Amino acid sequence: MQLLFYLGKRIGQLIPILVGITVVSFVLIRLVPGDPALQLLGNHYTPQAAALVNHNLGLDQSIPAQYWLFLRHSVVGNLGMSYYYHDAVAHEIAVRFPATIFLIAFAGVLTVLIAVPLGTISALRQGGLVDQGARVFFLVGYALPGFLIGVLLILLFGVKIPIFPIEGYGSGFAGHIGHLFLPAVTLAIPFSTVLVRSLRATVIEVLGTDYVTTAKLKGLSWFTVLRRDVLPNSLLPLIVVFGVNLAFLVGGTVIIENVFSIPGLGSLLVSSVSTRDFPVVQALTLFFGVFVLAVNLVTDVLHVSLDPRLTLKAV
Amino acid sequence: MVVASPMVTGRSRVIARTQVLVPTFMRGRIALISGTVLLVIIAIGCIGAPLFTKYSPTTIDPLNPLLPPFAPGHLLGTDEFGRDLLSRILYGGRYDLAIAFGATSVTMVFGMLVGLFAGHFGRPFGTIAMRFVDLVFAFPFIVLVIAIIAMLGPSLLNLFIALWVASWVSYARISHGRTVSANGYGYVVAARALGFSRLRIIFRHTLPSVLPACLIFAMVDAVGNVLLGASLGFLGIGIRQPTPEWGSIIAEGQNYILSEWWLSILPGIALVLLGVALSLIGDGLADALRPRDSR
Amino acid sequence: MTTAMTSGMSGADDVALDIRGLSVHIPTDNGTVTAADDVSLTVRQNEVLGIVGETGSGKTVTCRAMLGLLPTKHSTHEGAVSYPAADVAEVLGVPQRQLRSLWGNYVAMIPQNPMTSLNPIRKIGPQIAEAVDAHDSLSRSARRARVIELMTMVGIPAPENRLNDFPHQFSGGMLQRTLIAIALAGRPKLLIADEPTTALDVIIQDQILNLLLQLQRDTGLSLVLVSHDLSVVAQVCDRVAVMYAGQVVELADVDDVLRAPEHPYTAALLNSLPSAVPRGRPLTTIPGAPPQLVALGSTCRFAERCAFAQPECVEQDSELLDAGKPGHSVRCIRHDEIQLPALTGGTVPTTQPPTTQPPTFERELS
Repeated sequence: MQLLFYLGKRIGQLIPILVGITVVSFVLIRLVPGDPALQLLGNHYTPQAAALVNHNLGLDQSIPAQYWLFLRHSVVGNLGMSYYYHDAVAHEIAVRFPATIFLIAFAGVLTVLIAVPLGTISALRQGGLVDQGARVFFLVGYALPGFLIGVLLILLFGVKIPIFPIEGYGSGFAGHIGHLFLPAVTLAIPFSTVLVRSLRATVIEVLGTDYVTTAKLKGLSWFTVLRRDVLPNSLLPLIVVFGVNLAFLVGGTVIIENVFSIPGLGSLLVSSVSTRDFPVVQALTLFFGVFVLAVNLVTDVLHVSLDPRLTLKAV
Repeated sequence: MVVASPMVTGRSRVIARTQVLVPTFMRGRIALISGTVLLVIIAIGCIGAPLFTKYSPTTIDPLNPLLPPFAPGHLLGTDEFGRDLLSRILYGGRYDLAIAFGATSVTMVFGMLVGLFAGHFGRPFGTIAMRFVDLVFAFPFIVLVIAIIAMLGPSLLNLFIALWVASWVSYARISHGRTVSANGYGYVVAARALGFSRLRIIFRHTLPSVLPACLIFAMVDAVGNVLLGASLGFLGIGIRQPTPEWGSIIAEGQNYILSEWWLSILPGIALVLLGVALSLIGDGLADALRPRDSR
Repeated sequence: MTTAMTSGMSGADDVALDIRGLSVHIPTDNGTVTAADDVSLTVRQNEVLGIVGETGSGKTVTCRAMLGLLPTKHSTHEGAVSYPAADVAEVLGVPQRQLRSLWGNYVAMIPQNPMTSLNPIRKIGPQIAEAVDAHDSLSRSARRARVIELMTMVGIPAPENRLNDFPHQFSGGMLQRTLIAIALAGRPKLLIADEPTTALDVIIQDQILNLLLQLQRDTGLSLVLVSHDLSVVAQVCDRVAVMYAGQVVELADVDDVLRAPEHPYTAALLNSLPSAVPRGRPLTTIPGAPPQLVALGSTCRFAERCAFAQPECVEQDSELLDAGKPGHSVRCIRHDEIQLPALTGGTVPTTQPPTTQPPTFERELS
């Protein structure tokens, strides 16, 4: 109940940003130099046809009226027509969204699987082998461009030792897992470097807290202290770090989907740039913005509901 | 590099846990120095490219395609069109360096100023500015950059414009946060009470506590910008061909990854080296600029 | 002052805790800090030992050493800490898993800051219960009963209603009571309280002190009470160790320290206590500041602030000397020559001795 109230409050706070996102998307397409009708009609350009197109797109109205039209259409999911596919953009997005969300979720899970043990162990054994390894991993992993990791993984595990498919999305859950494993690893490597670094610092901080000393002096086993005190208190702030950096992961999919030819939103975005399919680019910008906002909301609520200090204060 | 060994000093029984051979205070300096050296080497190689190679990066030599490294006359071999790979990497690096510094320095200065002023003037200017920052943050960085380039058309200048628009907000946030906390520090409060002008307080009293954080972040950000520039080149939507840029050189070489792997891997190594150099400088700066806790 | 004191003569069985020649070194950017220097102390069974000193005098690091929490990653040490009555010969440098049977069971700690000493995201009840579990295997209902018993013992009102509270819902005093309950869960023989009241409101401070003393008398455990406040120690302890710049400068029965201090620092501390100095006589302050604990010599560390200092004080090594009375030692080469102003007032502690004052369990303001 308290959480529902908090949720409502947070959504209320997000509305101005949501409106801002629509304004940015709306302005974006107007950056395109030249006449949209010309873009759309190409060789079939005649002044009459152009006037008709402008009228259909609402371009003969005032800018605020155009924005209002865009907003009304966006809210009901009408994101315009693709120049290239001659299909509703919303439909294109709906078809391709599952691959992208699957990839993001998969990469997120892998990131946690990499980052939590690595960050914890390197904090527990500072200066140890894992810690030194994680240091190098961070340095190189962060400087490695995702597409290069992807190319290397394709070369290693797709071609030299062909254990994983290197293209497409596969079918069925198992098929998705198999096809998206390498892309997800590619995304997880740079993303986990951020989390490892943050988790390591938090665990070190938590290890020095008074309550860990209290727990140790109760005579509990070290493993129990780790499980009940150190890890929960270290992982809680990690949720926030995860949420804040999620846009990084979402952005990464744009590039990685292209490396592995995954039919998701990222490959749609890049191909639309090449085909100058502006309505699709505009709609995707809007969609990604709203998506990141939504996921941030989820991590926020999760954090608040897991931290008793915040749960009560939030309301 | 690091050995865990008991250290024996002083009198009778001395027990020490794992000791890292490089003491912490040196580690930062080593990172800073090695990063700077690496960056200077890369910069000299790229800016002084004509000194190190006699080939133009774009001259086609159909008779000598796909030469392996250490081929006579071509230290790193040639690509499918017989263009010298060393030349392409050295000349191409100029774009990556330009992105690292050109894009990052502008956004740093602009974002930092916005944060400083927003922190000092509060409502309504500060609030509006920081709401706008939140807004830009809502978009995934890459998506926003790609969208802007898509609308403006791919070119180096438009890449810069897109990076400028999308990445100043991080600096604004950092500098705003620091400014707001600095406003509570005694010396800023005192400066206000003494009736110093706003500008004087901002630049003489607040800036020194804002700049280090922004500078450290700038190194991380520069790595991100270089990687993004290369990624866009790789996707074919960054700088237009045939301008060589590391990302697009890697993309071209991808077709030959099984046989002539070096076409992709060598520019990839160059890219990683630049990234590591900037990260090391960032790490070193963070260590060097962190206030020492005085005991 | 309350319990019968067996000054001096006591068998090894009687010794709960023994610290021999403890020194702790911590390397910093400015050189190696010697936080504790050649500290030797014993705590007898059923005794309250007070350790007094300013911030940075080495009290806390001595406490951590007593508990076997040293060395940390950065510190090195010399000396030994043993628990003769528990047949534990050494706790320093021993892997912490070997100390688990000691912790909670034999020795427990009351922390300095109750606000940060409980896990903020776990409920109070389970945090006490796991301390119970570490020593007894009880059924669910028996464990709950034991937790409530402990909470009652430390004066937490309506304990069954507070089991599911989180630490941030407790006041500082209630948190300290909770921590005392946790410390008592394993029925320890020795409690180490490192400035247990410093972070609390003044009214609560007295309540917590009285609670600790009452528990000490009821259960016959030994108590090490660390404080920067000599009046607290005077009120509560049987014996007192005064620490300065990492060293014990005076160690004696509490009455001897209060009525006939042998070390100028102890005397100066007494004369700066508003409660100990008779009305009308000005309070004295100690000029200067404690030295940085880096590269200190073996001569007297208080010399430069000492009103009685002579050239030989900075020439001769200062050692812990016998002050004449049994169990009274002092680190001052001139302790026989100087006449320290004795406390004339005689009413040393402010508050009544705890014997005459029953422990109070009023609900604190939260």
